[in-house]
Amino acid sequence: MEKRLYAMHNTVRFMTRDGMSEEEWEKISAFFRYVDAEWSRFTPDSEVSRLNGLRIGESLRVSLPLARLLRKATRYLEQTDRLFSPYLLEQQQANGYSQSFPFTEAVAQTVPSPEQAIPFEIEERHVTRVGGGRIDLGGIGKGAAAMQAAQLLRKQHARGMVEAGGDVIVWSDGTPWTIDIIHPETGQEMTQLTLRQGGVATSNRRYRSWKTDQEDRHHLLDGRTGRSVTTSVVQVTAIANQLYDAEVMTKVAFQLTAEERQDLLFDWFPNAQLLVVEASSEITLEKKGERMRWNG
Amino acid sequence: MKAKKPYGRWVVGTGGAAFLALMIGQLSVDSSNEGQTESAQGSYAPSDGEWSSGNDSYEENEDWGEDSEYEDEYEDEGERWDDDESGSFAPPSQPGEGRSERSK
Repeated sequence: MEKRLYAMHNTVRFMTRDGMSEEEWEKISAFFRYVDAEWSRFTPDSEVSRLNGLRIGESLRVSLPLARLLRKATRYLEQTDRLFSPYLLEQQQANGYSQSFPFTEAVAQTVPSPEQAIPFEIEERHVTRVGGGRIDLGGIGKGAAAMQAAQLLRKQHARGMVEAGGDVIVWSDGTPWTIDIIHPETGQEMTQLTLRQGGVATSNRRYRSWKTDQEDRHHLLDGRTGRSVTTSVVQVTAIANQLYDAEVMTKVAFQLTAEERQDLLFDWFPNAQLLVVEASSEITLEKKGERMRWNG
Repeated sequence: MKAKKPYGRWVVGTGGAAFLALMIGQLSVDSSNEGQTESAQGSYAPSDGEWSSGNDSYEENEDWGEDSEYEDEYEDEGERWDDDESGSFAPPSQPGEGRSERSK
């Protein structure tokens, strides 16, 4: 049984082996309404926007899911030595990403260096600004919302899937799920993943890209410089136990060479896999200690 | 004091019911469509900025406080999702049940 809704500028699909109760559906719908309203940096009165508007020393009491997401995202920032950061809003805007997609051209400005210190102290639901840097949750917000829905559904359903704008979380007590990985150029199925439980995230630097008077830019930023990553990699798909890990991995993978991914990324996420598509159309499958060309 | 925002337990006053019905209709697929294939751009897709209208006539949803059941979701997520298994890849022989691609 499948249900869908539209949230976070994406279609979100929910599949369970048996039907979803009205109460479950209302809880999930309500949660995504909340996410749309409070997690978006494009909504002026969202909790994220209000946090971004705090001055140093000011605090805001936020909703519990957002407080926990910020703590989790900050832990990933520390774990990846800032390669992943949820605090790059100013850098995104300076690169030209000041409006939600679609757009093809933008004005770029001088990109400020990301702040070194973490800008917020989070104590339970109280968030206090202690430094510069503003929140842009990006894909980890989408992944977190999908995970919340999956957690709720998993209580009652032995097999299920939540798919949110290309991020996928699945679980099953038996038959695994089949997930098509889409080629960034052709839009066709590139390969099919069979997975019983886990998260799958895909990032692509071409779709969310735009022209400026200086150069082409895209939304995948180097967490240390704040600039669009320069790389031959076009698309990364990450498969991990948790969708959060997969989402973070896709963002970090673009910033690393293949050797660095082995040394760093698979040290941080040892049980994960990556499917990497280069501009040359070469596709590689990477795991800890392994890297092999993928022919489909 | 700014009125709080609702996302689940709707309290509607005069004139609110119609707006409520409109919003629910725009965010939920009609149950008669379950199991059917639909395009992503259905009539239920709201335009950008749908939630920035700032309507202040609703009560707060209490589900996001300290007593929220969602507290449980985060606490046990590690145990539920930490099975050490990886997927396997193969050429697609028929359409998959899920689809992972860049966000549209």
